[in-house]
Amino acid sequence: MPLVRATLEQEAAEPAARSDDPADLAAELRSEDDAVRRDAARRAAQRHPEVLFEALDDVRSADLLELILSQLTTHRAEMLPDRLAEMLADPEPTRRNRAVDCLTAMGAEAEPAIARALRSNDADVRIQALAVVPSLPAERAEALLIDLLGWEPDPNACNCALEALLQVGTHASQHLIAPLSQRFAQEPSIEFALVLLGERLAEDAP
Amino acid sequence: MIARAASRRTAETEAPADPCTEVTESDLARFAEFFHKRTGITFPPHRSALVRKRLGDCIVEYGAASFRDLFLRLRTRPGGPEMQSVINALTVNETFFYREAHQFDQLVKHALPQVTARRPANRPVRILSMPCSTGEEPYSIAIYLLENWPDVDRFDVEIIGTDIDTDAITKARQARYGSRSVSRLPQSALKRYFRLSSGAAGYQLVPGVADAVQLAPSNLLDREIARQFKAIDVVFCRNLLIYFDDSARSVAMNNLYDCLRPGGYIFVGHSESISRMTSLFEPQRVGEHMLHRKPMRARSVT
Amino acid sequence: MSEAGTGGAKSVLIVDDAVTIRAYLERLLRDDGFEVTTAVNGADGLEKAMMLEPDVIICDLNMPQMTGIEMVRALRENAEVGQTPVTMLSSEGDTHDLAQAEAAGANYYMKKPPQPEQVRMVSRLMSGRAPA
Repeated sequence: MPLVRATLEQEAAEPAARSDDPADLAAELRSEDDAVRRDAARRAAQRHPEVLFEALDDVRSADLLELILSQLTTHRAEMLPDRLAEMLADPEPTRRNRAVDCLTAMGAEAEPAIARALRSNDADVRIQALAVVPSLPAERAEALLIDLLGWEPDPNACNCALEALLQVGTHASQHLIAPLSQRFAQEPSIEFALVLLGERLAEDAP
Repeated sequence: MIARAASRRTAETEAPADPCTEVTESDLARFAEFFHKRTGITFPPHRSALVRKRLGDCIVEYGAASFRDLFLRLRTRPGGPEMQSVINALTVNETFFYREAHQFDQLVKHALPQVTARRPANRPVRILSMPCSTGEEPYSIAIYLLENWPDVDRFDVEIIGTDIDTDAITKARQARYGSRSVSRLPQSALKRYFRLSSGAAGYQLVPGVADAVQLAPSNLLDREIARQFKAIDVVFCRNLLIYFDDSARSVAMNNLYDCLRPGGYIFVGHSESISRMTSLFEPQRVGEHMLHRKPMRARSVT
Repeated sequence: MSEAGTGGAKSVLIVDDAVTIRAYLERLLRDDGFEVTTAVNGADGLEKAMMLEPDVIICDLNMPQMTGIEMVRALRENAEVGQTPVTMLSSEGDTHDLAQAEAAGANYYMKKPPQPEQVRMVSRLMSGRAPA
């Protein structure tokens, strides 16, 4: 038989008990060895999440970034929503988008940070924050969108808000359609989105 | 599934849809979009009628007033019991030998040739089946390889089955199955690898296969899992990730990534989509199929 | 789609996480005679590109799981579909993004929100289709 029963190393095979000192962890996170970096990220999440926050700015490998954000999200690190909201303005698209993914996974906990980001002066930050809105509790999400669409001047942010509203909107958003369609009369993509939204909200009519 | 609530209509007539449990085409389209976003599960068009019927059942089960009412609950509480029940209703959980055997075919034809290329013959091929439930999947892999992999005699093959449910592991160790469970196995394989067990009706897997498969309990969300199962060449993780929320799924994906060797393959269920869940793995086209593996080198962010 | 480039209609793959933008571009390009397929993020887009071998890809820059930039970078490493022309869609603020998109191998850049004439012209041009 070519099948061989595998042996599993059940003993806690902690390889030569590594140090959990913040400086050592930070150094390991910069290691050339993928496995060492990833192991350090897991240990840091348990003891010193602040090391991970500091490391976020110079993480260069996609898998490590994904692991760090995943670890921070599961360990419910306290400063996480605010730190992630800051990352929405990061010049690196990959980092911005992973921040969106994490905030999305957090659900209701992300709300205060998202509400603040939606009032940013930077339309690009509002656009990133809008991608998170549908994962907030539906009623709050709709309220935030109704508020934003009352004043949003940027057509791209408006499109993102309409996209979000398509997912969480109810009849309560119906009144937005006519004024938006006037305000963005020159934007065919918005006009198109408003038609889709109108059809959908009509299904929700009481 | 829960039986539809008693209706005053007679059972034998093709009754018109109940207005309360009716799910229209447009409801379905909207639901499908939402459900795909949350779970990564898609429905092929030919299953529309079944999906509508099952959703109707869920409306009854949760005493919802209408589809719209149920849908509102799903949207406002995507982690709630209604969502779990909808997922259960819309996925098939039955496990049996050679389930989705086309993936075993891809394993033999594409994944194993890749992972064994330039590998010394004394290094075993390690395959992880998680969750293994009552053992049908890891044993299927064993049988499929013995029957179909031309290089099976050149390499030591280690197959590990693991599940969070210790009762399932206990049953898997007994390796005794009903006729339904083995009904998809080719007759020749059934004859070669099973004995009719004495007394109660059932098929007993021969010890040569059963003893060769390692079985152990584990939790995919446990951070230690990559210490328990390391240097895995191929992992089967089918129809489990759909039950996790986004954050748990991300932990699971990272854990599986760490169990795998660079270049190791991951198979998920046919209704699950890896590209929906993570970009940790690298797609590889093989004919009309898409395989996914851990990159040989870490992918750069910039 | 798999018959792309055999003399039939040219095919476009639209990669965007927003259903409104996908539907908008799809309608626009279908009305202009293209065969259209859509994908919902970079990873999905990469897989559909590998599977369907479209003539042209229009791809949003900001997407969950895998950005448009990561997608183009991965696409360019693929032997079979690495040459597919890609237009990146992004909002105007992102000059750094534009430079990155170019470095990753995007061929063209369209400012959002997408304008119908531009979408049609760029798609025709990139697919080698004669102007209308």
